[in-house]
Amino acid sequence: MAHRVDHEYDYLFKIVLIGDSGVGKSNILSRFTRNEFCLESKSTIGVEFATRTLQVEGKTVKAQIWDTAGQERYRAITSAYYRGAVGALLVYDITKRQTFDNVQRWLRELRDHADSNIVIMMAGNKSDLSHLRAVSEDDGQALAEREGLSFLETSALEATNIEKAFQTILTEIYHIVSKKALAAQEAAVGTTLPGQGTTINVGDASGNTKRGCCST
Amino acid sequence: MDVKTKRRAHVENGDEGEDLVLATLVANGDDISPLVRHAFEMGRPEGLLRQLDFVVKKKEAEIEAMCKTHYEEFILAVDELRGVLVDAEELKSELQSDNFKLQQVGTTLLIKLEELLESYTIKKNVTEAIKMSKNCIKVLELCVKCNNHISEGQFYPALKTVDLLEKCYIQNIPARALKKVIEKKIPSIKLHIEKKVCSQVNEWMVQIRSSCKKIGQTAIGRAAQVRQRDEEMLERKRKAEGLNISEVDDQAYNLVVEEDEDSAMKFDLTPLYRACHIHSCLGILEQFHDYYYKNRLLQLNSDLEISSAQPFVESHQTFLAQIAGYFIVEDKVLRTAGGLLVPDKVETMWETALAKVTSMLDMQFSHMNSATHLLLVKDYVTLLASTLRQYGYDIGQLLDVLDNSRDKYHRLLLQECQKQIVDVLGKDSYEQMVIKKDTDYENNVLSFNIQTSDIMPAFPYVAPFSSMVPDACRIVRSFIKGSVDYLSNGVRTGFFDFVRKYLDKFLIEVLNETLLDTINSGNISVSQAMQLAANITVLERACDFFLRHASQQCCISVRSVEKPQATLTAKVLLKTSRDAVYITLLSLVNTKLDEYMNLVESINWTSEEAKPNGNDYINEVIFYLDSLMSTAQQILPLDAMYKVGTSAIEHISNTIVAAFLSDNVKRFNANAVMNFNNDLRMLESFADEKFHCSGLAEFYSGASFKSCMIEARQLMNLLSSSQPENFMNPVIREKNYYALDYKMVGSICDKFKDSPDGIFGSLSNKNTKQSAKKKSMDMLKKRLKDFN
Repeated sequence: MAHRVDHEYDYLFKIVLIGDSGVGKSNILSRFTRNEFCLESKSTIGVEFATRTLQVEGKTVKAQIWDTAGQERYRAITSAYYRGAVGALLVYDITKRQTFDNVQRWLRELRDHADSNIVIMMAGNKSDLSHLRAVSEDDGQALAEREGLSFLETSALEATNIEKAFQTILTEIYHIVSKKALAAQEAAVGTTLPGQGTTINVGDASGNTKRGCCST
Repeated sequence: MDVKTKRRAHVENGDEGEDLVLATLVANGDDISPLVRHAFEMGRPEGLLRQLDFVVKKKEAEIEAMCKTHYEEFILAVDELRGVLVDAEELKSELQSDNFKLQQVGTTLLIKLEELLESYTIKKNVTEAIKMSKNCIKVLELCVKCNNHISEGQFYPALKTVDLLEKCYIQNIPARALKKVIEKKIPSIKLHIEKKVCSQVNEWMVQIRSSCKKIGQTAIGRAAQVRQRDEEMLERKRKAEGLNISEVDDQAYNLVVEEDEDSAMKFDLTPLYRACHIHSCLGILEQFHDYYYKNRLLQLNSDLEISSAQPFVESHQTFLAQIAGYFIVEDKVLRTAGGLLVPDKVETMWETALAKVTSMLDMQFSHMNSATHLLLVKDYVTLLASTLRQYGYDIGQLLDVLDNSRDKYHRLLLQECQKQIVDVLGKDSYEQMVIKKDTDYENNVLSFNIQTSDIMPAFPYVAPFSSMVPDACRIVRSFIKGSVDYLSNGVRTGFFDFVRKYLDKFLIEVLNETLLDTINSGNISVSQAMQLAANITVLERACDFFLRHASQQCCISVRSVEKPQATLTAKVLLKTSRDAVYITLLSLVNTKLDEYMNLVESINWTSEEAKPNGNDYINEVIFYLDSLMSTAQQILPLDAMYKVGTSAIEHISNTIVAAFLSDNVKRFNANAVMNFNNDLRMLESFADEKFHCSGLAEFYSGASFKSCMIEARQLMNLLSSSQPENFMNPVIREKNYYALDYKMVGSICDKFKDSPDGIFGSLSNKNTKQSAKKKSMDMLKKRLKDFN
């Protein structure tokens, strides 16, 4: 999970990109991390990852985003792929109904292999191809609500909502991590209090807060 | 050459002559260079030099002479020149003085003049600058105008402005920087316009795509209305055919005024026309054509994907309407967009859609297990086909799919109707229908043309058939309708042969087979078998109605199906089934009779007394026969009734004879013979009475039920005879005992044991008779033994 590595950033969050082959996962990655888009669609082989640092509510967060092949033959690395991931961006292509229908299968895969607390956002990519749309935004929104996911329609080509998608997911992860840190702190306090009645050292608490995060 | 010739001649004469020639030449101004060149070429210039010295001397003499005569004039001239010199010097001074004065006066004026010239230069520059500025202003005004057009989305005026800039102004822009900027911006503007227009086209594509379903539904709805009107007309035609009117007046066809186009059909192609025009101005019309074609093809492929979440029966109408709308739009684009689409491209699109739709329909049809679903989809497909046919699309493949699924549909229809038939047969009470009022009579009898007379009967009316018959007829009628529904409306014309084929198949494989299954099940009683036979008789007759009804539904002339070869094959098979049920009926009757006539065990074959009223079993048999014949008379036709009667009575006769032959009967006496004889008499009496009372005598004159008992009768006669030995007399046997077999008679006679020592043995008269008969019988036995 998130942990402090050095002074360049406060948190490191691993995000995985999942979805059918050809929905645009790699272009979402390159648009977000390098602001690039490639029209030629090459299938991703194995796994690629890239990082980008951004600010989340005053904290410096380094996002480590893992991109994988959506094709069946690369599924052997599934478990390793999901290990340590705190967030997932589930991508479908609004011009291909089948990719949307397969969202359920990807969700099952997440539940099977990833941490149960993983933050999931669903993204309907290629929103610039509105004249070829096969999945309405309402359908996407309805499925997201049913499954308790965040939802946005994106366009890697036009850089629509890409930044917003990652910002949203990272913010949500940050909130969860912060809550956990606070809960851990309260637990520690609770443990001390009934036993001995010792006075709490304000300096120690301050130090704990300063560290900010803990492993789970 | 002439000169040379002269010179050579003169040289010969002497120098003086030659000198004169040279002097003359010089005086005349002639060119003497040839002479000089010639002299030096010859290598002898001395002669020429002497001649020239002579000329010089001569000239000097002339000059001196002239100087002598003009000496005085010369001196005067020199003096005069010296005077002029003085005057000139004086004039020079005056000029210098004047010049100085002029310089002083003109200095101020010169300054003014310079200022004036400078002003002229400035004026020229300013004028030129103004001119340049005006040009720049024009250019910039055009740029502003262009920007305004672009910001207001008026791309054509913008392009006109850009074009004007490009052709008329760009080369003449004096400001280099401005020129560079404009030159750089023009391609950007064009690209921007292109992107904007493509964006508009994309928006149009989104909008037209969402409209396509409505467009398709409207067009298909209109085709449905046309079909409904056609069907109403057909219905009137069917009724006319049904009435068999020889000459039907032509229908008065009302001219239906074409209704105004629905709003859905007035879809707007303006953004497309505008985009075409813009791209044409940009000089990249072909590129836009490709763009349009590629993207519309992508949209089509997307439309052709069907969601697996929803059953096809529910989603097919939306799906097909979307396709119809798409191609209606493309047809309009083809006709009105000035070459944006060419027929080949639309044809490719249509073939793409056709291949996808046909394979999908094939797959979906193969998975369907309900005839209703198949019919529902077929109906919509034919509406789609007739809709798109109006727009010039080739729909042969769509109709082929329906043809390919025809057998599948009819198989499903057969299955569904089979369930209904089985259900109807299962529920049948095998009792004659009691019809209480005329509407019931019409619904159950007249509508299927199975009435026995054309006169409306009195009510309550007891029909010869049970309720399964009209129920089955209704099922057959619904089968015919289902078949016609599938095969009509665009699948093929002249489909009556198919309907007839499937009808025959249904009647044979479903109705007839179900009836046969019921017959062979062994679960039916005699009365049920009898009713079933009657039902089959009526159904057989109803086949003519079915065929006529089918022809009416197909709008075929009734007369053409009244030909002998037009009879359904099922009719023949139903007749066979009726015979089968008769066989079953007779078998059941005989089984029942066997229950009553368990003669071997229930009869006292060596009774001590005669029974004038016969054995006990015979009353039961006669009672049973009476009820049997009464029921048969009600239900069965006369020939069938006759057959039942003859079969039953014949069976009784055979049973009696078989009893006498049975191994379980070791002996019998005269009393037993007498009792059986009494049985036969009672049976014969019943048979005669029934034969006449039932009306059979009228149709079978010369025949009789008694003839069925001939074997038993003759056996009884023989055993009762006082002279049984007469059996061996050929004449008497041929006359009285022709039905009896030698071996059989021999076997039976061996069992005949009379009691010579009976109670009445003491009577001499009795003894005499008995003794005589005994002798005769013994004689017969002996002779039969010898014979065999």
